[in-house]
Amino acid sequence: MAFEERPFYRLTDHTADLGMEIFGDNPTDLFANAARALFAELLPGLGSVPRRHVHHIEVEGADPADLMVNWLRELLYLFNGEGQVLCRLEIRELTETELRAEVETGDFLPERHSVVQEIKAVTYHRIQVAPEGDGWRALVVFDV
Amino acid sequence: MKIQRIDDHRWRIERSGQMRVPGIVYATAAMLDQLQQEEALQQVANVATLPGIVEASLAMPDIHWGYGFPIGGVAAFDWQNGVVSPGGVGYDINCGVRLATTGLVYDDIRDRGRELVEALFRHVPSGVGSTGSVKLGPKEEKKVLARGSRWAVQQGFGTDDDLRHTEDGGCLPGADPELISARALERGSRQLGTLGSGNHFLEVGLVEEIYQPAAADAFGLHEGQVTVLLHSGSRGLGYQVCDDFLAVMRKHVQTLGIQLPDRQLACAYIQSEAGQRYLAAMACAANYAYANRQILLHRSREVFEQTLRISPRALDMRLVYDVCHNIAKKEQHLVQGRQQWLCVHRKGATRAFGPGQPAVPEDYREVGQPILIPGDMGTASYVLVGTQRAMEETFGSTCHGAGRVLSRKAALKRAKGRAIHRELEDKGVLVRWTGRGTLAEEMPEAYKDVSMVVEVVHAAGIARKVARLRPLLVVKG
Repeated sequence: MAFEERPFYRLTDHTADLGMEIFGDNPTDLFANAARALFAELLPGLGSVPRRHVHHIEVEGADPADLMVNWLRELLYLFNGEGQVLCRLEIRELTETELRAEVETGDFLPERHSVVQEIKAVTYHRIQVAPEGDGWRALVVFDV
Repeated sequence: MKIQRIDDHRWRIERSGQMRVPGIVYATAAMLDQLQQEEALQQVANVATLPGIVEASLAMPDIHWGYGFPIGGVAAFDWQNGVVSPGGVGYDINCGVRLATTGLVYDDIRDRGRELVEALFRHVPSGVGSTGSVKLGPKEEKKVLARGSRWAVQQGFGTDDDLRHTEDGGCLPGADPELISARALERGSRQLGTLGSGNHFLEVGLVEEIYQPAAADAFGLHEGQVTVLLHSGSRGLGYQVCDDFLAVMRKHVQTLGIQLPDRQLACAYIQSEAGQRYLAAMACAANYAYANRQILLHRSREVFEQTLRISPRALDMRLVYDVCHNIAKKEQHLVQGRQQWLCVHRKGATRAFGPGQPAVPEDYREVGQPILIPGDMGTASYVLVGTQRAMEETFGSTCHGAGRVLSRKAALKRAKGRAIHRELEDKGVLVRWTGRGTLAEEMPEAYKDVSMVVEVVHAAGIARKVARLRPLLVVKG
């Protein structure tokens, strides 16, 4: 297994919340992985969910870190507010202060899916988005 | 950071850097040692840099680090020149606790415990994203936001006595529902009358010991009595309001030229439009939480009456008090010899008004307001009473609970291979829960010893012990 892919995120231990380190080859990859990591923690082993809705998401931020918080907020609202789970996403445009993406979601079914880790909010606490080595890394702390 | 001992239970973080006032931490020497390994003390110092803060940035003995402000933090800002910060209130706006007494004693429920806990679990919706107790159209939801518990009582979920025994009479003034986003309204439409998850609970307990008979009498507490203790907040609506305004203030604060040591401290001047809008939106979420806990109490009454087949009169479930521990409030306090209007932020801290305060319900005014301190589900909870000393030292504030000591991950690890519910049963606590990991994450070892926290505030005189409650039945989300 010498060529196993590097994990795209890992958890860091905190007393009352959830810290997450996310990795990507480039900024676009990083922002996409952050979205995938959020749903992987919320609903591990979700399996395939029929696609039902397409969302065109546009977010702004003062800088890449702010942009990351606002992007994850939008995705978390899809789940917490609209009961939608992530199926597929494509980041169409990414600058330091703007992101445009197409996100496909399916319905969360409480009788079939079980939330293992409730995530209540994306915080600014220790937020980081920066190049690291030959890739990119983000640190996000979620309120749980 | 330079920390000076004031006395056995108080420590001063000396002013340095951008700090406008010192920090004062209520703790034992051992607690302080523990705290120095965390960021919480730095957060106390960070809060002290905000414009308009008066006297000191305070921390209660259950302090642990939070986002921006520490949990267990109390900070008061001048109403004219100070700031308000959503991070100083927290995500779960008006998260709080309510305690009710009953006319029952242990023998009345001894053989019915399992039946009761099952019935409470079935009829009081709990768990992640729990819905279903009361459904609200947008027009009705706005009435909840404007009126809080008053709305709930008008709908038949309780009595006028319940309102009298709720902080703010169950309705924080100044709420403007038109400031609430469509997202927050959406999240609030299905969650009224639900407990939620995490550390929220409904607990049937027993008054185990009385420390101060005069206050216990005033509160209607006596040894051997069965009680109901509820811990819940403003659910997804409050989270969304906090989130919406953090984003607004994060932008806004950049226009003010205020240097923030932490983005999560984003704030606005109280007198600015942004500040006033936040306070009016926060009041809406606070009112939602009051109504939520009022409905949860009503459901508990129904369940007791139906399960035990007794009349409301025989049950005699009376609300002792309802306190909020995540809030910012306009209050008048004595600052350096003169009365001053302040915006008191309590984030994981409880109001602890002493005797004679007009804001305390008339029947408690002689002794001071009841303070409700929940512990972990296996040990004990406390009823305290507010003091004059709290008025003088902490803007009438005290601690709010135990606080976590293990991360959720560490708790899960520690619980591996153990049956936490059996361990609790051996201690005489029956528990029903929803979430897969909830019980392990919330096990008694995951929390600090609430008794130690209570001993500090008691010894420091910023609250006095009145009674200890022992849990019998617990419903967790």
